[in-house]
Amino acid sequence: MVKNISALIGHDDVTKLVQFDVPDGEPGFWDKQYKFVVAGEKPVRRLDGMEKVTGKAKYTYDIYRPNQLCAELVLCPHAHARIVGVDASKAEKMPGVRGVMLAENLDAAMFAGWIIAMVAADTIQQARDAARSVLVEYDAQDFVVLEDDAGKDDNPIRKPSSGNPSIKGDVEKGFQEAFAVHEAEYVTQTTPHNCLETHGCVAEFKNGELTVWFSTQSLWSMQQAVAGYGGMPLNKTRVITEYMGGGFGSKLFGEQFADMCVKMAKKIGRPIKFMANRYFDSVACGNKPAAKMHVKIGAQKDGAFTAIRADCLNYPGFSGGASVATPFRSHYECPNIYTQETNVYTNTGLSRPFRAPGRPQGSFGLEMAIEELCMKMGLDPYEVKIKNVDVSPLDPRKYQFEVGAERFGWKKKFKKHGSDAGPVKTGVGCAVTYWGYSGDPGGAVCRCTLFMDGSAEVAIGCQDLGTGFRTMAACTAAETLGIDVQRIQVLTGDTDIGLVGPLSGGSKTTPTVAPAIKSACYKAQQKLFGRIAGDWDAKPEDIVCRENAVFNKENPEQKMPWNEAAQKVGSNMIVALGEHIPPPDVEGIRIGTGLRGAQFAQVEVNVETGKISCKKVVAVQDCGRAMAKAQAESQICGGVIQGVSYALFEDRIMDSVLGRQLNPQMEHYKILNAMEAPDIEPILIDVFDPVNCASAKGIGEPPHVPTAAAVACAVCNAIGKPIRSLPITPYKVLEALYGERR
Amino acid sequence: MPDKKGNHSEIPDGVSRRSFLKGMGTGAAILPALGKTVEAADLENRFGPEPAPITLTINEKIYHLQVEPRETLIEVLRNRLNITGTKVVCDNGSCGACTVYLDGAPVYGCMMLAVKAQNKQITTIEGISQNGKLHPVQEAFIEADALQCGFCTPGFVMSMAKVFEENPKASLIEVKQGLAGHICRCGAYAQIFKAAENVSKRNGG
Repeated sequence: MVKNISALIGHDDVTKLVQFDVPDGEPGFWDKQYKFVVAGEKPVRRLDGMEKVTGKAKYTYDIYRPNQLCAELVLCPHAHARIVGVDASKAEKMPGVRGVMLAENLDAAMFAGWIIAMVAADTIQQARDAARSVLVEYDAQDFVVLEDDAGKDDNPIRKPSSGNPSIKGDVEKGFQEAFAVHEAEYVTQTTPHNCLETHGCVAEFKNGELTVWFSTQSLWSMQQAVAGYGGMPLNKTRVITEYMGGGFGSKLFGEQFADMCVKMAKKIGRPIKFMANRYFDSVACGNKPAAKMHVKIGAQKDGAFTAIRADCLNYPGFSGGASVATPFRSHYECPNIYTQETNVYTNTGLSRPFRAPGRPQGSFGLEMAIEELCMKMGLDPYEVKIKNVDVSPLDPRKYQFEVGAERFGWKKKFKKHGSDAGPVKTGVGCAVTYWGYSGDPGGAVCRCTLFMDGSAEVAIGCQDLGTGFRTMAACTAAETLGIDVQRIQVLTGDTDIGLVGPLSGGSKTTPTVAPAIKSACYKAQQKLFGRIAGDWDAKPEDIVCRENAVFNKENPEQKMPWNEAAQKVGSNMIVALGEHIPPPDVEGIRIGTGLRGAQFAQVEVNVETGKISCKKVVAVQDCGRAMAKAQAESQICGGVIQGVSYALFEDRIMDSVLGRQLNPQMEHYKILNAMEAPDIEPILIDVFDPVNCASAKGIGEPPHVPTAAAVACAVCNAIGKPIRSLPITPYKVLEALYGERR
Repeated sequence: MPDKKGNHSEIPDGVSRRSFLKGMGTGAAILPALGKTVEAADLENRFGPEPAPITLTINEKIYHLQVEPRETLIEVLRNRLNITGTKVVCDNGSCGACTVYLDGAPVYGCMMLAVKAQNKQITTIEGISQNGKLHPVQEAFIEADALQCGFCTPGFVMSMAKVFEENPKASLIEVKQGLAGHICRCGAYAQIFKAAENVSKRNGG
């Protein structure tokens, strides 16, 4: 029932031979001895590149159904108000208006941007006109929108909620043992996702079925959500996300606007499209929440950490929770760690996961505290940090750190804090990343179909947010089948495919789907090889295909081109399903846990103007083995760019008098552009970890975790003064250097 | 009354949506002072608010259609003609996603009224590949993996194609300046620069 295989696990530098069982009929493991031909080797052209560069790709935003109506929302302008009454009678009579629907939950609006009603009209202009004509009477209430005003004890909206502390060892004892201790408060800002395609959907009832085109990261949970909205059975509810203009975590959940869209489409009997405008998207569709972290850290004379303590305040909006403490517990080795978190509420839109939720905030607080401790002790932060990740040789952390420092030229570039002559001072900083999630066994079912002309199709109900999921899927299939990637067709982005895939969150897509694809393709090909095995007097599992050539491993003389072998598929096709089966549960065969990486940043700070530019980032990252190298590198670069943008520019600004966001539009909300983009060097470190048969891990989130911290440390190194709040602006630089009354 | 002849020369050249709206406000304020004759003439030549007939030349094809005068060029392309390659992202002229050419010059389609684009050659992302062959910039984008979600890509391609049309051997800094009005949220800049380098190299730069 099982076959025992031996595999070389570890990473590029250190390996170990292990043995474990694999169920019969399932593929083996891509260990270090297995050289990739397609996946992770030469760059593969993004499968949907052609559609995207020509403008042919149809996003939800591009869907125009016959007879479609356009919807617009009526939003509350007050940060906190009781809703006394709504009068839509004027709006209902306006030209082109086909319906007005009031929102549920109309007792009180908890932030400026609360949905009051939805208007559907023939054109978007008419819908906007009518939305403006809906009369709403508010009874404005006291509110709080600034984190500083949202007192921990006397919050006017809702009592802060404190979680239980997470305790390892004894921090007080640890601080007593320390040679040096540093303690300070670190603050991060709130940043909306600003996906370029805003949140939205198109809902249509036709022939007794509901179809929703939805810009979503979670096809299947959205199918359940919209079926609920429309009172439809699941087998008559279809969700389509063929192309998607970014999500970054903000498009994982059901949406109130979608509920209203579906209900109105049902009532009016015409398709309805709602795409959020930039204002609604910014104030109400999620953000990376602000945090205040009181951090205390102690180290021995040689830099080994003795204790880390972080007391964190999170600001998730008017409700819910957020968490920033994970990095304090997981990024470095330390015998004594204490973290505690409290959610503090403001009258602002809810936070949502944003590319490694909580991690960039925590990483900033942690790495800056270490940086300041090193500055105090006169130590090189690189030496201190690498000392505290040196655990076991199989764990790639130390190796990654060394590779990155070498490529970055840390030893040559690092100077004592603030010692560069200026006026444009150069500084360098480094930080680590950790990501603890891997795939969900059973979370994906993939289908492989082989055709007699040698082409193949893989199908899976998942979504490509822009990560290159399709390309990853095709590469994994081509690698398994041993054929050119051009022969693979990928079907995805539609619940009608009928094969469940994971939501795209937690960087779980690739580690859940890649093993399912490998399994399906392996099984389909084994069926085919069963038809050849007789002629060769061979066992099907001994027949393999590499670079379009099928041969018998035991007798390499027996061989034929893939095209010839594929003729035995016949006109009925060969179909097989594959799943991500649970990983072998054997002690000592896993490579640490999760994914690791390290980043190095170089900045220039003009101490006369305060201007900061990030010049270079070296990003070392593992994602197990990259299934599609070019796209994995693009993910690293994207995480870094968003990190630099977060560190230096982005900041949601709330007006404490009006209670509204002052910069919901992109012309007032600074995002890094082409002129400010640093030179980025992504370095993928292969890690061979039998967490799944493909050794695949997700790379969307981890590279975003350490960038802002590395940039902040580099600024500190350049000017010799810490800047303890993000974003690091020229004003803060000058303030740090010359005091408030310069 | 909408002008049935499609005559709208009274709308001055070079008006952005903002200054146009501002102009409307000022006009209303001074109207009584100018007297009845001006008012009557204005009404006769006035556009809207009802849809009015206009003619647009898009990717060398001529379209006759009815639009409200307040509709932007990009709204008309997308909502009335289903030409959806060009995206609207910020709708305020600050992200470059809606870049199209007007008589060969790049403009933000969200900042221009459709009525203003008459009698001009409009080129969109759908129109820059010729005879089914990709524009060299489009080819370079795919080759360098210079896109992720792809929503900003049409705008970036339009502007970069223009940079290389003006200087086939454009340097990296010239390309960056040419793209400074664009935002890529996924952060594909490193790959976009690589694509530009490849185009420049192929042109002998």
